[in-house]
Amino acid sequence: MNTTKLKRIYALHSWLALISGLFIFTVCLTGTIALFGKEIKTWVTPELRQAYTQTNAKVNIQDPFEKAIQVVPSSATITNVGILLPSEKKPYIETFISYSSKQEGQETLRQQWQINTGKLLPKTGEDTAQWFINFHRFFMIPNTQAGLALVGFFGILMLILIITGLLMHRNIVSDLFKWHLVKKSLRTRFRTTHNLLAVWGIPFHIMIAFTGAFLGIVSILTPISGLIIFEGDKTALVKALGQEPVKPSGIYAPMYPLELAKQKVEEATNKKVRMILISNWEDTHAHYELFFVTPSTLSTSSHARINATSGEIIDMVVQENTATSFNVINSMAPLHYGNYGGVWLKFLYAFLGIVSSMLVATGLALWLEKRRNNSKRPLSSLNFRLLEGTFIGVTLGLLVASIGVLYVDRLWEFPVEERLYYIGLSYFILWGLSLLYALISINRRQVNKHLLGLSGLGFLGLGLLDWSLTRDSILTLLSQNYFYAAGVNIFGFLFGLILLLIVFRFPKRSHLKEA
Amino acid sequence: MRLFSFLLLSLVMMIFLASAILVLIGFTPLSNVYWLALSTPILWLGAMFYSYWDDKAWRPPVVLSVIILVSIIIIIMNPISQV
Repeated sequence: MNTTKLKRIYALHSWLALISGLFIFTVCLTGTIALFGKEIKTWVTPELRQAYTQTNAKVNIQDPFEKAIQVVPSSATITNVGILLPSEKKPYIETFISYSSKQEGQETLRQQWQINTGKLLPKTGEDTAQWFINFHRFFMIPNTQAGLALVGFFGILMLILIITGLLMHRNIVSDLFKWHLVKKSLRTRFRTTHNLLAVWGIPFHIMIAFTGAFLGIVSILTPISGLIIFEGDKTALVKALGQEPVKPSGIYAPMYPLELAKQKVEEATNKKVRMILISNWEDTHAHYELFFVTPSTLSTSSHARINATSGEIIDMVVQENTATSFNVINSMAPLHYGNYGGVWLKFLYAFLGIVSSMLVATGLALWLEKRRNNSKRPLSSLNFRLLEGTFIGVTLGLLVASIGVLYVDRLWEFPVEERLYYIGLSYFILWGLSLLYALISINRRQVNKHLLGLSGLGFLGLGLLDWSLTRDSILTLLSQNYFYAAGVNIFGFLFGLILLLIVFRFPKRSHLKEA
Repeated sequence: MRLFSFLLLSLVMMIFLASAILVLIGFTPLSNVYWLALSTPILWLGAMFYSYWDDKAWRPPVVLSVIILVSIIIIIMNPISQV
């Protein structure tokens, strides 16, 4: 590669990182937190804590399901039904019923049920766990598809940053073992850290960026391509893709008992059912789709289809019987969410997610240091302060907001229907305040320490907060089989300690003085 | 020119090229569509990257525009019934 091209690639890498870096950082860090969305759920909403054991896991779903159906107005037409069976992460039965009526229009009723008694659990609304997942997936942009595409676009930009970074990088092998954290200049510290994180984490960075880009943009661009071909005819596109839903016949037929259908499939396949979808309720064309628990496999769509009036198994879609291309597509979501290998794999993903976030942060810091000391085009003092304040405020402020919003959600009783709105509002207020503090503060080293220390204290205090509100200590939670709530308290304590340790070991000299 | 190709032409090219390929390979077997869906991020990434890789600044917009034009012709010349 000639020098001109190298310079151009370097400029592309720098400017692209500068413009999109903070967005990519936000996607990476929120994604790391969202990995544990389901685990956080019972911590943040204690009403949903239920003891999940192997005995009550074999729960009868017929009763809660029938109770859920009874709530639907008799004049309404049920269009779709979904049932999520209990798991360790979500130790309750969850039902979703979509119906249409002349009075209410299209409505979806979401209810949660106790495993043992089949009693209805109190309505809790969307909590912080859901906020983390949604914010990572589509930035909470009202048009979900556009939000997904935007996050996917940042995945593509991350891939370009990886490729350009690799092309510029001349000493990949030697940089694998170089990490200067003391005695060297701040710039060298940032450079070696950036290179080290980039090179060691390269397979993960590429995988997470590609799967993220795929999940984000394909959901919107494939239909666009299809619509171009079919001149806007959506029905023709759905037909060509072979995804035309079975239409109801309009003739009434009683439903085959759901519990029996579940038992039939579980016995025939020796697999556990995790989710059931029902189409064409009480119609001769009704059918159940029973999705299996598929641990340690890169698949989320293995399922059996059952005729919901006769109970006959129609077909099975399992990984072994499907085309390679389908399996590859199907593996994108598990690969991205890291939910195919248990909780330890998630911790590995979380560690690598933090590495990706730090890669972006160190890259931005490196750029800032280079420009500050650039003899030809140095940054003015004001510009430097603005950029440095923004970088610190956005990156560490995001951490403060993420931990702070857990406290806000637990301490304030928001109206159930508007819970997610207030969580989002609190999140942005906390983030904005941190950014403001970083921008107006003169001593940036103190800002770093304060924001990091505040986050550390926040993590450390999660267990205390939970105990003060529920009177459940970690030991009580463990003895009652509330493993994930206990896990959040333990992890929060340990991670808080690590953050506080970093604050106490913070370099003594301010890098402003060092320059 | 490069920035224009990077931001806009690459996206338009990816959409039309994917559509044209879909018209040529058809919807059956369905695995064709899946492979194409998997390759769309790579097509976009490739076009974006090419915008800054080529030594001549005028070439990326021309090449991408030609690909868009050819793709549109392919889509128009293949009626829906033949897909």
